[in-house]
Amino acid sequence: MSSALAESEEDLVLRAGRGDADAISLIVTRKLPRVLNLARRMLGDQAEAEDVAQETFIRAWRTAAQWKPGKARFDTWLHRVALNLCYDRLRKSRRLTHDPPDRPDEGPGPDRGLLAQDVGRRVDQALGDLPERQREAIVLVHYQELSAAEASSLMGVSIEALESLLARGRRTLRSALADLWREA
Amino acid sequence: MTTMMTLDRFETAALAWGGDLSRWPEPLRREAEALCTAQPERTRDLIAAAGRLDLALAAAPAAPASLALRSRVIAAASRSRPTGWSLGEALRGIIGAGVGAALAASCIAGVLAGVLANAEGFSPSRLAKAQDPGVEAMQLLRGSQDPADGSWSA
Repeated sequence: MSSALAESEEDLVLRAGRGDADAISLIVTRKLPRVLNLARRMLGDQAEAEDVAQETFIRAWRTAAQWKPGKARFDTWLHRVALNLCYDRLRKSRRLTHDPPDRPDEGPGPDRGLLAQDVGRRVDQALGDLPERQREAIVLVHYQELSAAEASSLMGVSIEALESLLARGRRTLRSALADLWREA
Repeated sequence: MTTMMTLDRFETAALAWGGDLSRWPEPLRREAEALCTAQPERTRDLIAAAGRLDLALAAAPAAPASLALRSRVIAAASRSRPTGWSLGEALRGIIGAGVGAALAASCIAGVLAGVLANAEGFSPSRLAKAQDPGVEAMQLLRGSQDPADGSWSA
């Protein structure tokens, strides 16, 4: 296993593509949390995110042997597969939004504390309310920590367009969450 | 001589890319660093504002990847046959290893295994228990041949 740990991701993927159980296990261990978090933040639902993560890896094995190392990083490619699956689900459930929904202002109330889990829930909610492309941009850059080049390539937009999506999304979030630091 | 980034441009960029300059794309980051050096107080406020949002975003909980899910994903992946993992792939591996003879042997073994798997009365344990597995295999093969037309009953 120690040699497998030192093995390059490319070699691991190619071995997984040949059905090597150790390689499959190692890749799942390394990549599952990232794929799961991506799907969880795009869909806002843990059970759906788990299904997407599972399907992402199944598709990955089916095509791993054909994956071309020079074309894209395996991690970026996994993101593409997972994002496609997320959008399929969003389309099916008609949860795609292009404009921010009307939502009553949930500003600070007299009985609302700032427990960490409350903050987390508020952020989750605000993120879920963003139009998908803005949410996708924030999830890829902020949470998945992809570079601007990787994120823009995945989304099929220029870096300038990515910046615009990020700025609009984060401006909305800042406004929705402004009370968090006003109270701090 | 390059033009210095404006504060407005810096503000928009900070809003988009966050309070950590190292995460900004090039050449934006270099230009931003130059402005930070030239106008430290103004840029510090803008970076701090972007950083507060970064901190709030970080409070969103990560999805737990349970051991059960990991096992489920591995099991599902192991069940799915890679489309690219073809006979050609296997043959390339064998030839690459320079085991030419293994090619013919593995083909024969594969045909044999396929026929045996469909032969009536075949089980791996029967072959394992046999005194001479080769003879046993041939008997199974003969037994699975249709006496009427000589074709395999499988």
